[in-house]
Amino acid sequence: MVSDYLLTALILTLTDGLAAVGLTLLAGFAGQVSLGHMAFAGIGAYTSAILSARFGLNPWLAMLPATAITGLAAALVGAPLLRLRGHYLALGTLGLGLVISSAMKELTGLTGGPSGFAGIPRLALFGHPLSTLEYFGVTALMALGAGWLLTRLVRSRTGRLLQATRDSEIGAEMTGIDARRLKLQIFTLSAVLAALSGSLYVHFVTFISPGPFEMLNSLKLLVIATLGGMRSIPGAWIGAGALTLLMELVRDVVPRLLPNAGGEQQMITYGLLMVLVLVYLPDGITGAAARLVARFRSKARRPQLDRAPSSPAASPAAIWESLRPARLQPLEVSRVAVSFGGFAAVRDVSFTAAPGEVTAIIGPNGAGKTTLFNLICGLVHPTAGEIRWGGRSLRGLSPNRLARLGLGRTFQNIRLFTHMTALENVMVGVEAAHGPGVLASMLRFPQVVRAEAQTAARARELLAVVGLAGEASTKVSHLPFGKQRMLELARALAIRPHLLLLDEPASGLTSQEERDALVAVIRSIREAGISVILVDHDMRFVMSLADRVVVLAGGQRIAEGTPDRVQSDPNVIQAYLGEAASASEGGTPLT
Amino acid sequence: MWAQLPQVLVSGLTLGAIYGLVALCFVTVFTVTRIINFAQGEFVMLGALLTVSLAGSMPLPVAVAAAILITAGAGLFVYWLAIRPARSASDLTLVMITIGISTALRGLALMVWGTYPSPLRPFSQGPDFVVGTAVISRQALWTLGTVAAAVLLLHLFFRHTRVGQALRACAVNPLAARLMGIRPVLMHQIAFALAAGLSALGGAVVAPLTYASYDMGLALGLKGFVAAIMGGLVHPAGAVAGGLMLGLLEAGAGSIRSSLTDVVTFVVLLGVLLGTRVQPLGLGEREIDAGGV
Amino acid sequence: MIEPLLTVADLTAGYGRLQVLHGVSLSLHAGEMAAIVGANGAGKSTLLRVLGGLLRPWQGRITFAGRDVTHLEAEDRVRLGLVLVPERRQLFSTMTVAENLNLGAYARGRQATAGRKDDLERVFALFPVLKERLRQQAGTLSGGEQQMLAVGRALMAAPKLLLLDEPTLGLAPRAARQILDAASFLAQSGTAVLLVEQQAHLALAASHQAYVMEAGSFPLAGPAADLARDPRVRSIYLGIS
Repeated sequence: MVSDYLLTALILTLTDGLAAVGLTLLAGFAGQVSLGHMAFAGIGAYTSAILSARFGLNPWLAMLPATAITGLAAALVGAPLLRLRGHYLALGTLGLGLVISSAMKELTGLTGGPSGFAGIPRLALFGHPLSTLEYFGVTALMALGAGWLLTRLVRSRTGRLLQATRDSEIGAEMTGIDARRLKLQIFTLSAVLAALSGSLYVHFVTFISPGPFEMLNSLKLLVIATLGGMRSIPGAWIGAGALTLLMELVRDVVPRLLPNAGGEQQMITYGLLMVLVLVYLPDGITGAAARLVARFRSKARRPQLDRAPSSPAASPAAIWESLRPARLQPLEVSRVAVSFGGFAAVRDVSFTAAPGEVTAIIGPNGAGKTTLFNLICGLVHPTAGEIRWGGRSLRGLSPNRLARLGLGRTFQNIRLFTHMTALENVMVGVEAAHGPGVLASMLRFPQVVRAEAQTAARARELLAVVGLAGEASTKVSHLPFGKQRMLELARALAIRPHLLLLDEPASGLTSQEERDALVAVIRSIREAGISVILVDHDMRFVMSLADRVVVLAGGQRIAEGTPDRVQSDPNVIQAYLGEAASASEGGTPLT
Repeated sequence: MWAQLPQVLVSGLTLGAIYGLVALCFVTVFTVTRIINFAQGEFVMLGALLTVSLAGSMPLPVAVAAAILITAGAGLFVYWLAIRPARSASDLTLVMITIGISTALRGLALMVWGTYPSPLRPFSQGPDFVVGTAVISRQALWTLGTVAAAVLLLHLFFRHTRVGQALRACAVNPLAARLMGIRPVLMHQIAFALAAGLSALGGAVVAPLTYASYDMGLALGLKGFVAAIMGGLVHPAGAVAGGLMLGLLEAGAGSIRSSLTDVVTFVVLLGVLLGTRVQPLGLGEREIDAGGV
Repeated sequence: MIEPLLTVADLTAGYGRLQVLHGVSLSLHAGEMAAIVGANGAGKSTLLRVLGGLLRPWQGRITFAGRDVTHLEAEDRVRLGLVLVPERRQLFSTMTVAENLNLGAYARGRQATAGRKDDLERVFALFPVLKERLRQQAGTLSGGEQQMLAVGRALMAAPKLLLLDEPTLGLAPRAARQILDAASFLAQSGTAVLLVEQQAHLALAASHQAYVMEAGSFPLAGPAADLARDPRVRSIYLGIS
């Protein structure tokens, strides 16, 4: 018969994993840190304990408000906290954990203070409390269920949006992803998982105290998540198991080496493990295993999405037609100015980009082209002037809001989602604004499958029109530069843009074929009725493509017109080549 | 309550001085290396415990000096073992690494020195000074004086020595610093060692007041960081001022009810974090492609 | 035949997967001033970054004063006398003019204080306005003054080769001419100068040699005076094919 000791260890490992998987989701997938995560386990545990022990509520039922209240608390706290970044966020969560830890010890009337209280009922089935073996069964089922649902989540739209945000936050914003809202949802979910874990724990041991929810155990969760591997859902349980085994070893071995050693073993082990794993094995056990497996297997493929045929049913003409915007809106830039500190990067610039035309912005280095560009797509705010699109002011709108209104953009140094395939990148563009949310992705089976198939099909169409049909399952990092550029275009087209901003699209293209292909695609974009504003230094490229050219120098517009007119404008020549050499300098001017 | 004000001022400033010193260490390391060392408080703890252990077998000034040197060495050790190998990792990873270091150091201290807080005799014997209703112990004066001297010396170091100016250059513009021939890795090591040594000094001088124990670093580090943020993480003067302010707030809250002290810190922490618009350099990506090629 | 001070052979470089330089070669002698002109995005600044040690080349070789410096770090090139004045100056803007100039001499070590004083006087002779603004914060100077400070700071390192990346960027015509005159003067005094400029006219007028860069290579190169009269330069700039 399996010993009680072993079963207890397994139950505790499973609940640890359940709390840690929320952290994996948060840190590994959403890129956020939570240093006081056990606080949420504590809130869930105490709520469940109090409701069942003091108010006689059935423990199964008590777990529901426990998780709900914790989720609510997380949403309230997370909203302001998630506006912080990096170290500040880490510190905020640390502070939160400490405050809640303190509260557990101070609010003696409610929580029983530092010694807690006992008499919490076990989970029961058909009247009698579960035995240890039965409890193990329940916990294992819950862990499996959670693992399965979360795996579905990270393979779905939500998973893609999260990965996209991690790979390139700016690229994600400009593709229409509301990163803040997404992160808050994941934060709340991770708290709910922790609360569930806490409740399961407390209904097993039948007493509660602040101890298990202190800072050190929040750290333990982090160690579990990193040890198992932050990018893997099952990693949370693998890490929990590995840590349990390791701690057993430490408990056996250390007293033999250092006879007086006691509780500090935990601290040192956690600390050292964290450092060693993060420095030398950043993807944890599952990461190392995956790398080993990859050596024996060729390029990893994601089966479901690949089963579809590689060429879409619709013709290129039909696909381009489907991109035609419903409304034709001009972009009017009036008297905009941008200053950084005391430096005026853009001064009193006005121009209009007509719908269905290619407008090029050119100018020598330092002219303010990129600033102007960033202004239009919402990354920089004007200190004066207005930008109106179809009569509506764009002032103050966030980049992702602009993307949803139909303003798409590509970047000079390519902000693709590097850990995803070409197909997935375009899919993100298609589904960023609408699609199954977190709960739906986990639970509603037929709708989610249908949505995925539709998104994938649409993404294939867009890959086809830019000539990347054969590269659907290639990882972005394996694509040559020219194809990465095309992919960025396809992704921008996926959001159904009315206006496309292209930032140095020709830069880095080496062969004439690549340039010709790019010119052809941009011409098709224009013919589909989408307005294009582009910035580039490659004069031949610009002049062969543009309908109108706006020339900036020193932050101001110095010329505007057709390419021919601009090429012969003396102001433009002077801006690029410098002052014409005067007679006193002795040289003849460039003809 | 008002009768207590002078005493609150004295305790607040004394404690605040230490917070300011730790905050200064945070700022030094962050501006030069762009890393927040969450284990900074642990160097205070090491300085305190080492001084206690060594003071038994050598004159106190020598013990303090030795503690500072050993801790500075520990700072270098931490840099080479854990920070430098992970230099290309994300901010998130680096944060977790320094937390791991902090935990490991605490466990180590627990193992070597045990759980009981160790007292250290005051630097100079003698009766406390009484000013009005406030009692100022000699050690409090030592603390204030040492921190003031340290801040002054640090200021002079940064302003008038070649190495100090190079460190500042690294902080102001790391790219330009390289173009001056300044070696980044050397500067990082100096910053780490300097911050560790300075923290150790703080620990040694405050040990007679608060007793040295393995977990004193956690709270000190946290509060020092809060103070550093109050200075925007980049202004040394702001960091010291923040430390003093925090110390005063804490002493004030403590005079009302002693269990309020930690709560005050955390509330201030959260308030400052949410209220401040100054953010450290973002995670990975540069926010705007300003300036073009 | 004197050996060139700087020899660059078949340099290729880029960022990530983006290739910017496609096999660039040039050479420069002591006391010579060469200009690299061309439209923006052509790769001029990238070339200087590679020469200065801020960017690792993919292939090719850089020889300076007889040494292979291709893989040497930027901070070590300074000690050899290869000094870069980067695009947009990169001053220590919150530090004073004096501190900036002092830091320029960092690479020379603790000794050589006498040499340092002489060099400081030479900088003041070249740019008198800096002497007036010693205690001012670098960020508060005008554009032209900042550029002078950047060049002066580089001179404090006693360079054998000075790399100037778009020194006239954002400067009024008069200040631009001043900077280029100073560069010419330095070349005459024996320092080699490699100048990257978008404003072709001024650069060509001030230099001995010139290279025109387009899409990461040199389609045109030769004596600066000849290129100043060559109509192909303008075509390259304005995309007239």
